[in-house]
Amino acid sequence: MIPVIVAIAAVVSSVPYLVVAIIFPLVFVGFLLVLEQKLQATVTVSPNTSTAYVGDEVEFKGSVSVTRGFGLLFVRFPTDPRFDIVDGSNVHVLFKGLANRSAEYTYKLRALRRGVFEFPAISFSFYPSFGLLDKSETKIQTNISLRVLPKIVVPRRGQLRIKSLQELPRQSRARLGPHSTDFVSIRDYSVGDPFKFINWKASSRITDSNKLLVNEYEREGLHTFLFILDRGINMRRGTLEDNALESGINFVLSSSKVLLSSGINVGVWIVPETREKTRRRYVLPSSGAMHYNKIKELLLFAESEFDFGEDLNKLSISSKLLLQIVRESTPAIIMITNLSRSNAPQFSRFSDTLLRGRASSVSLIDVMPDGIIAKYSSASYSTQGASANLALKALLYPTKKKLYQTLPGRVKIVAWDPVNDRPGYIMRKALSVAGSGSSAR
Amino acid sequence: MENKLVVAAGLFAALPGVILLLFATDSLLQVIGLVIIALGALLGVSAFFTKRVSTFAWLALILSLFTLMFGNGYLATVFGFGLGFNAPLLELFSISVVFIELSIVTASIYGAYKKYYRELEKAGYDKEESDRELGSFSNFMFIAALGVVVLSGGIFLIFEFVPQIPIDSISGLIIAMIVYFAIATYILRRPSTPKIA
Repeated sequence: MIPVIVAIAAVVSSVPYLVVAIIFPLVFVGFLLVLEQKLQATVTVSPNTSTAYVGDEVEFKGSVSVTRGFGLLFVRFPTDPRFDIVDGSNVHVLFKGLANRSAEYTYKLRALRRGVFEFPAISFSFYPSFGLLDKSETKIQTNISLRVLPKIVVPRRGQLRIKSLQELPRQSRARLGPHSTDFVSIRDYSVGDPFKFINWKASSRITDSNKLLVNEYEREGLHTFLFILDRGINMRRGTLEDNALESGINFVLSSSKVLLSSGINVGVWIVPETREKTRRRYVLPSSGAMHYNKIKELLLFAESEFDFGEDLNKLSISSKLLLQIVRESTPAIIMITNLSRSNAPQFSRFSDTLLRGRASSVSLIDVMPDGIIAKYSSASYSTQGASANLALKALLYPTKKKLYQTLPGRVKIVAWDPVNDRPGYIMRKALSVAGSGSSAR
Repeated sequence: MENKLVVAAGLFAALPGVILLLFATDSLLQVIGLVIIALGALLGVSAFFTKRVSTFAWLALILSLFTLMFGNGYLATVFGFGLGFNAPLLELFSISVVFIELSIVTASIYGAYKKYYRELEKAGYDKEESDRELGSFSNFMFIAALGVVVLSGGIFLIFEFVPQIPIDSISGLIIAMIVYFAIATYILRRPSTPKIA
């Protein structure tokens, strides 16, 4: 409007020199319009690795090259809420004048949590010509995927006693191994049972003509440990990066590594299942170094959910398979959960089912995330060590005692404060308890 | 950088007032000059308190134009009074109006700088980088505006020597306004093409 106002004033005042003041805004706007061009820019970003561990720093290198356009460019390189920016910045501003511009940026992210993280796109906004003209926004797809593995502590094998100190009656061994001649029982036929074990006499006596009964014999082979990890809502207690589930995952991975290196079969089950059943929630017991990778893959995607999913005691397909494994291999079972009034009855029934299903022992590691919460609300908590540990357990003991009493007597319980109990100590306790007949309440 | 823009905007806005104060013989013109200088000073001070920095430059522009309209031309003839403008003062003062427009542009550059700087600070951008890039942007725009002032003066001089079409000023004004609104409408209504290739 300036040219119009000045033009009117020029006519009314009859001053010709005001023409300069009419020309100036017109030429200035014309100049900005001439500068207006489509932006042509190349923006890239890449991390220095595709796999990292929790707590590791990952360096991202980004570059921007602008060959056409005039204005301000705001670039936002990808990041994720589960990462902390520890160095540099992922947001940058760049002014593109008449000359070509290029710039390189680096920033470092620290992984706070395990999982597979996508960094899908770089977003940027372009403000051309002094902001008089509309801004543009766009995203550039990057398809960067970063795997963050849990960082585990593996104690030295000499520190752990996996085999029992006491002399125990001979127990049946892993599902891998030949049948011995020691008769155990007669049971229903399962797919895969050798035909030679069918007990025709017993089968003919039962009224249901479609059913077959087989003789079961003890098997020889390696010992089996089975970890059952609870992913119910109780395991969410703590923070997003540090909670009962994360502690449980680290424990399972550490213990699996130790056990597998001793040539022991290890299996992992995550309970309960969700109703969608989109992902397998178990790894069947096996041994060897490659087997550890399967367990790691399973636990990488384990998340606790608000939906309890199926009742632990309902016989879904994987639950039936679990009971079959227990029956065949009579493993030492270690359950990891955060025991509370809401899940104690379920775990009590489930433990009973496992014990009746011929598990050699059932231990329960009760993760107490109250220590995690205390660590974040009191800076000194994690440095107090044994005294804080004892204080926490003393505080929770009356409630926990009542819960522990609801579990079957044969279940061995290990209470664990992840902040102050060293992982090696708990592993030592849990594995030796699982291998022995002693109670650790 | 932003302080220099504010100082420059204030000085440009005050320049017509300085001309009036120094060269006008009429006391009313000198008072008007003082008011314009005060508006320029307020522009500089207001930058620290308000976002709308160019308000005072606009006021200076309107005051200057009204001074010219009542000091010379149709209104002065109709109402029978003048403000004591002599020819050299009139010429100098009317040319200096372009500096008030430059002040408006400079104040707008400053406003844009502050707006972007604040938003970048809130969004976690590096302060040094923001300062540097926005500073380059503001410098470029300011120098470009100065260049356009010089270019406008050059175009005016060319008009002085080019043969002129013999039409009266009112008709010329009407034709100019029609052309201006036509171009402005075209620019504002044109389809917004994607700015990123």
